[in-house]
Amino acid sequence: MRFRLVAVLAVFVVGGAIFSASASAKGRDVFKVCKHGCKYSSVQKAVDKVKKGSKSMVKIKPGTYHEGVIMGGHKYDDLIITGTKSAKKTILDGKNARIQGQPAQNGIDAVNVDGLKIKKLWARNFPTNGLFVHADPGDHCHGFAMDKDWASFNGSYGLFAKHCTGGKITNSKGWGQGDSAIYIGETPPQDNPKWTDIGNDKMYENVLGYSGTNSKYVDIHDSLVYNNGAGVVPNTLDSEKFQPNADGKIRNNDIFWNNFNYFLPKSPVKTVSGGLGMIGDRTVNYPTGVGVVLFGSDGWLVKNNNIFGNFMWGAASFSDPFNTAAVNMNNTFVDNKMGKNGTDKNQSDFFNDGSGKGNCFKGNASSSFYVSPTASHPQSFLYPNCPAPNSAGTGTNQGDGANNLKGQVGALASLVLADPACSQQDLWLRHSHPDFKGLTPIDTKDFGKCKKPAP
Amino acid sequence: MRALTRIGILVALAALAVGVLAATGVANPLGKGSQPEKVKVLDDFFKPTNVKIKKNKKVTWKWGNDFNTHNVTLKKGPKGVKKSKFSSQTSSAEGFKFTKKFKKPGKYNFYCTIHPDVMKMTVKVKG
Repeated sequence: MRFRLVAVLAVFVVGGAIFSASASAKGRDVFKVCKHGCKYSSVQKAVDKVKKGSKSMVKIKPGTYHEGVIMGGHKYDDLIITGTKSAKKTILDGKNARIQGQPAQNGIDAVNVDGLKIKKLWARNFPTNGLFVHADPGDHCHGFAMDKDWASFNGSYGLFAKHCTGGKITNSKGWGQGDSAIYIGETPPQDNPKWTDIGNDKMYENVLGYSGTNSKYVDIHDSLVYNNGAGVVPNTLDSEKFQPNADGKIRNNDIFWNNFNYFLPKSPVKTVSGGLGMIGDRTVNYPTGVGVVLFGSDGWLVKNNNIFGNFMWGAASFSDPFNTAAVNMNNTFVDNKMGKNGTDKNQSDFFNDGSGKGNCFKGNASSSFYVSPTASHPQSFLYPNCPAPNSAGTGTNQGDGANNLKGQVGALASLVLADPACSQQDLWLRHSHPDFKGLTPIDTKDFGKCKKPAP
Repeated sequence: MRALTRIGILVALAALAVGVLAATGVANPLGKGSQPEKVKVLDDFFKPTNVKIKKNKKVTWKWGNDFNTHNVTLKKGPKGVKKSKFSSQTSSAEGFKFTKKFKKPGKYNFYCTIHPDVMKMTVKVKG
């Protein structure tokens, strides 16, 4: 009898631990989510029960959850959402996922939440974004954190923060996105800036590795960026607030083999973008075969990166000739190791259109600088040493040859206006690559032939 | 990184076209018929920008084959209407739809929180 009583009590204790609505851990109420046996069978149900983010933690047990999660407002400030194991085992999957009767568009969509931490989750196959934190106009999302997260085959962005200040995306990876694996956009200007830490990440086989429209105070470091259409692409566009993109660092990264021709018919990734616009009857597409692109960037430091095996340019710098807010200026390319000691070259290590002022190049190993045969300015004007003399650069958003589509701008135009877009590869200088970390170069994969219309 | 809204001469023409389209005004006054009123969600505008319907009619917003991320968010509505009930997910997916039924007469001002300065529209519901 006594034994039975003890046994029954034991069962109650165990049952209570498993089925309790929330158990305290590290001063937070814990909302456990699992497929079977927890109070919450979906992440959204758990999130909906959170009353105060700073005192709550949503812990998700391994499993594939076909749902998207929405949360909004500062009651969620400092909430932690985490997988209990690795991202590999804790998956938000967009296939057949629905929210309020509609197809879920994002893995997690958190708006106007400060200090949100999302850890050890894999967001995949969502029509729009994987993990998405942002703020409405007049509101804020300070200091978000994504750590040890994965994102794959989402329609636009993998790990995405917009209109936020500070924050970090670390120890994470993204592949297969229709735009970029990691995106920081529309950073509000700040007098005492909070920097966003993008570190120890892997970005591969996306249209773009990193993209940041009008991003600021972003430190991209110690990451692998490879096999994308283009690798690291801070950019300025007038479609978003707070032009231009400014004050960033790209340092200590390996940026290589960004030769993904996703325009080919059998590419597993399709770009979400229909192009950057039109000139005449030609679509302006993103450039491919490029490691770093500074587009309308002000005050970026590109330092001590290994940049190699990109079939067009290792690092490119140019302004938007149609947007006076998108002028490349005050950017510094210093101490980068280009072309892997000549064993895995970029076609040209550097491309600069000659626009802006204050852009300079110094201490880069094995540098080659692209100068168009029709350029109207010399190399010293296009690629000055640091600090840049005032005589270098046009000082405006009009680069060399912008008025007649010749020179440097003409060379750029021939790439981004290639028709069909897949024929950008005709301008690449292909070669085989020596092994690097056991990875497979994407240019060795067959994505079909670039079909050109009959002449 | 997504689409530039303006680049080159053609884009200027496109912008002009957008202006013309945006100025086309009211759609299907008072929403006659049983079908929901339709609004396109494009880069970066709603089309049309003014919709008039009778109460208990629906409006469906449909995302076009453009590329930027958008949402439909109620900025101001009649007293007692919950904003959260009239706000869509944020999406860039072509074909995504958001449908709402308007039970309470009055003026509903919508915008896209991603493009708040340029994407605005109004639904007027008559009792």
